[in-house]
Amino acid sequence: MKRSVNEYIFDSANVVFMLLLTLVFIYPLLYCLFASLSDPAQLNLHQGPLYKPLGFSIEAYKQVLSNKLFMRGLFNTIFYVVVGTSLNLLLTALAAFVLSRKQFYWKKFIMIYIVITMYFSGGLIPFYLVVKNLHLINSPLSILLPGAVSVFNLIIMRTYFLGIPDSLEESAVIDGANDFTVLFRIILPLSMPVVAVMIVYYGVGRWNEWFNAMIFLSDNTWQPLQLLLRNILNQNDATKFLKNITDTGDAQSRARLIKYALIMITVFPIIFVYPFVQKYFIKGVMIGSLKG
Amino acid sequence: MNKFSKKLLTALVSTVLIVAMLAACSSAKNENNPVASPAAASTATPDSVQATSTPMPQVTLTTIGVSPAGLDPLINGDMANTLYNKELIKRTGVTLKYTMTTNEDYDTKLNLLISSGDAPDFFGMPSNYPGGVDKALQDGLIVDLSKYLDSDLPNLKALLDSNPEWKKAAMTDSGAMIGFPNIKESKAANVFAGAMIRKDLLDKVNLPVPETIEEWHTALTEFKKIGVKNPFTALNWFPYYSGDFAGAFGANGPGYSIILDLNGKPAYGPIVPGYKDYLATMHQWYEEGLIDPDFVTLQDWDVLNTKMTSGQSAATVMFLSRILTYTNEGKKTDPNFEMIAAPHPVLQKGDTPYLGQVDPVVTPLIAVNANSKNLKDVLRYWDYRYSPEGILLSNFGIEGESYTLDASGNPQYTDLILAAPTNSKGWTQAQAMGMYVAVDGNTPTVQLDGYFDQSKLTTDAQKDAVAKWSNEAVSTLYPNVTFNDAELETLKKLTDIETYATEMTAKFILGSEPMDNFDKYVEHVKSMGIDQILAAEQSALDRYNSR
Amino acid sequence: MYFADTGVFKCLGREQPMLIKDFKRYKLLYVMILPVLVYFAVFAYVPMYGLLMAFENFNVTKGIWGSDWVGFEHFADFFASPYFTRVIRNTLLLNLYGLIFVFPLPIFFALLINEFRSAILKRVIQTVSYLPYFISIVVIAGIIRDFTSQTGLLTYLVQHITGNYENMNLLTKEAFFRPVYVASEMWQYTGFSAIIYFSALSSINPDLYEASTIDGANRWKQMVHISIPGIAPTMIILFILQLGSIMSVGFDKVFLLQNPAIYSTSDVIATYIYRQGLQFGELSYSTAVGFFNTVINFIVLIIANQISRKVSETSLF
Repeated sequence: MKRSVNEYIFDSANVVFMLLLTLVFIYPLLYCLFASLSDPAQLNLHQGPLYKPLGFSIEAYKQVLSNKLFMRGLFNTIFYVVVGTSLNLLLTALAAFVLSRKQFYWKKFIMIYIVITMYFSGGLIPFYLVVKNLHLINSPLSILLPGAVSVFNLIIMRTYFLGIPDSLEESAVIDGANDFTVLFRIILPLSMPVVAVMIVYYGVGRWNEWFNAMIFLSDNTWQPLQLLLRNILNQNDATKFLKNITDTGDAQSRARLIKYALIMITVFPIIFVYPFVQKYFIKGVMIGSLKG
Repeated sequence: MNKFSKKLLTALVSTVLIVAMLAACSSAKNENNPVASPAAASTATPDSVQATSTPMPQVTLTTIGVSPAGLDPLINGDMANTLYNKELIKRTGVTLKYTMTTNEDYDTKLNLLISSGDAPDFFGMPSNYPGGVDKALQDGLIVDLSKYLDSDLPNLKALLDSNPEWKKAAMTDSGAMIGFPNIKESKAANVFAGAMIRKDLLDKVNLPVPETIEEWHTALTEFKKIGVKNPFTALNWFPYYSGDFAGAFGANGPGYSIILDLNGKPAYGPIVPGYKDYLATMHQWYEEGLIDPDFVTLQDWDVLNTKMTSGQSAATVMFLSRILTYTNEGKKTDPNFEMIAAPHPVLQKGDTPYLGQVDPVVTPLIAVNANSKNLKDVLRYWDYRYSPEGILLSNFGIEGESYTLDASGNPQYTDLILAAPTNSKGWTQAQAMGMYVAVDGNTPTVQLDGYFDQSKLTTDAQKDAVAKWSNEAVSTLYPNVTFNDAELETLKKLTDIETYATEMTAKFILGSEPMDNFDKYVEHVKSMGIDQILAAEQSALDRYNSR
Repeated sequence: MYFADTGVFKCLGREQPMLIKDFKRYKLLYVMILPVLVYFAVFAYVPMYGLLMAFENFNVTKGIWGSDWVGFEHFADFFASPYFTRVIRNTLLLNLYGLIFVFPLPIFFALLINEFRSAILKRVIQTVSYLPYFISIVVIAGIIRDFTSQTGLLTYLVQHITGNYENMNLLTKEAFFRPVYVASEMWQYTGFSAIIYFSALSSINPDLYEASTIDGANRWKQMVHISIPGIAPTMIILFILQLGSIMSVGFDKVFLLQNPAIYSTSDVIATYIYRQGLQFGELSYSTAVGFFNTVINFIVLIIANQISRKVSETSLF
């Protein structure tokens, strides 16, 4: 399809505008990248934006990566991401499917039942007691199970399923399919975009999570990476040790660098994996998606 | 079924299987890790005062802890692996099982353990127990140690009896002892914050270290003339907490809130008449460009660091360690760079500074769980820490490794501690101290002068600072009073008053609020109930003084 | 024969209650939703008794069942506080600005990116756009404080635009807090929130676009008549949910960016409660205020949902 002059102008303006926006979006990450590779002494003298690393030093990365607990933390987190996201996806898909079926009588009540939990929460202590009474303290299940379903994500998935025409389900039912078959062979293959989004949202959530681990784990066997990184940061941060009167500031400037290195360590794997999932919801202009 | 659906189904099914397996595993396995096997030394003669001929009982006690900076790689994330803790196993038979956490999460974690009935045998005081830690005693959470002084705590009793001041400070209003105290031998150990200024720049403009407000004004103005952009800067809590500057006018900021004035009566610093002069002076300095406009938002120590070491600013109010830090950092670019401590400012030369910063000499640190099944062992363990051997271990570590006795029998740190990081093990000083010396981790014992002098006050600049900052007429320390329920109710209003005072302080200094409104501001504070609060404080104080 | 509306299933002359029949017929559906129902029952509803803390003087030693009951005292304290109106106003305003400025941005962003002809450009820009989401709030706050300091980039811009060159720090001026906060929200979350809209856009049947081209529609018309209606259900649901957080503003960013000089515009419910809690460990108080917030949120949600049901076909329930 040939573009009119107007469209051409619009497209070019669009690209330029977006590229500018991209610079704005990417700046904080670039800042962190440059800061994490900088020499601490020079970084300390610097105020304002960074356009490149000041001096060069990989001290921060060395310190974090050489930590004996690092590999274990990484393994644990990969475990939580893979198993956790799968669990999340399974439960969410099941529920979203049921709640999007016209013939299901209870869907309104269950929606209210679920949405209420987004608003009213009993707080940390009863939550902890529940997990304790299930004998899950210090078990990886205490991280996998309590975060298994996000109401927000569930609503998104349900909205998407509602948009799939009934005719597809009806013809499958006529052919003798049961509900499981409908979900797994008809609906899900057509829902790759939202499945991909769920993988991103749940996956990123699992990758970043540390809170449940902090309260439920009493040793570091099953500690996820984020918790370890957070602990490293806290320990090096002299502001948490106000009375440390001989601190010569080395720890403090290292803490600054570590802060940035940690962000890079957290973001990098995601940038790496993301394109594989992204292709499911970003398409070219003319490519059909429904047969994905 | 297309390829994708098959993959998805496989993935989901395997997930369910894995989760099921984990569930089976965790319920089969005992959720409590097996008790760490006690050290093999069973008949080693204990060095403690309570030397007995029976072999020491081996027991494991639970607690919660935070590891000091940089120590994790050496102890594998578990404080029980420090060398002094291992030594203590030999000497007391007690192995510690720590729940490790960080400073930030300490309160949350402790509260969860307490509320789920799993409170450790002993633990460091939570900082936000509703009603204060005294209430914890009333609620039956912790033990009143004074009851056990005669029966189980001979070493501690001896120490407290030898020094009545210590004894009084270790007890509450009603004579109860809520926790094992940390006692600092030297007062200097508790002084660690004050004003500091560039010595080399003072020399450049031919001025002495400022002592009065006038001298400060002159120094800062001269600094500005020679190109220092924002002569005075500080972290955002400066106007609210610092005894400096406000103290010169006989006032204190909202951070220190209520203190005892020169007559020993509780007073609320932000509304005394001197406070108006303080604000007016600060505002004038701000208008003249002597105070950094960024100070109101300054939270990051790194940014302050940058301002000081790059020469953008030349004076601030900060912690003792910073004098050394800024000097070392600054010297990298300017070899003449030198920070020096300034005494707390006064109005007239020769006056005693009104307010300083000082921490209590005796602080209760570790509380004992009233429901602990190992109460006797807890008491025995901690009492050892107050014995002469225990104190020596906590301050200096292990003889032959971290210290040696010199000719007069005084302990001296070895090179392992002092020559770091070029010592034999490649540890930094912080790591070496962390492994051997319990005091660095802020645990209850007596903190000896020697420890302090040899490890903390090694440079002249530091000694000078401590000397300058140890002088004040009125203390920011409030006596250890206990409030009853009615008083606590009244005190609740204080938070809102403090919000208001803090807010108005900032606005007066910045000029967003004209100084003429000061009286209206005082009126407003009074209408918020400050007088009732002061009355409540007075009645609690009266009770304290009469005991 | 199954009569959906009669509530009764008649077969062979025997009547059975609809519920049982419904269960038998749709038992697979019931089985499928059971895990999630159990999940919420265990992890959300069982702990809900913790809300009782709002009506007690909670004491961690005595526990929830043992602490003293004080009824609505905490609520009364909050309503009577001199700062009650102020923190509520600040919270609501920040959220209102969020609805007006932050909410639409991901939509425009997704629509505009969708117009790119190059798939690679689309993917690269989309990837870069969500990166700010991963930067910890502490670092973002540090960057913002740097930009608004006396030598900061934003300060510089403002000085040149307003012609007022006095040496200042933007965050000491009350008027600047809300714009800075809202702008930082746009910066941090646009890319990540746009992901949902991308997936919604991909689900639109491409035949619709093809058919409209044949009818002579240009790209603008396509966007207005196909793309936007296609993502409308998503937009509406997300809008309803956003309204349902009208009383909640996240603690971290506000806390890191505020200072006493600008409390009048920056003190929100969460930061106010935090300061109250510092002194006396007032878990009860913060639970009470939190409860009050969520009740209001929930009511707003229901109202928004009802309106949406009448006006469009999309609603939560």
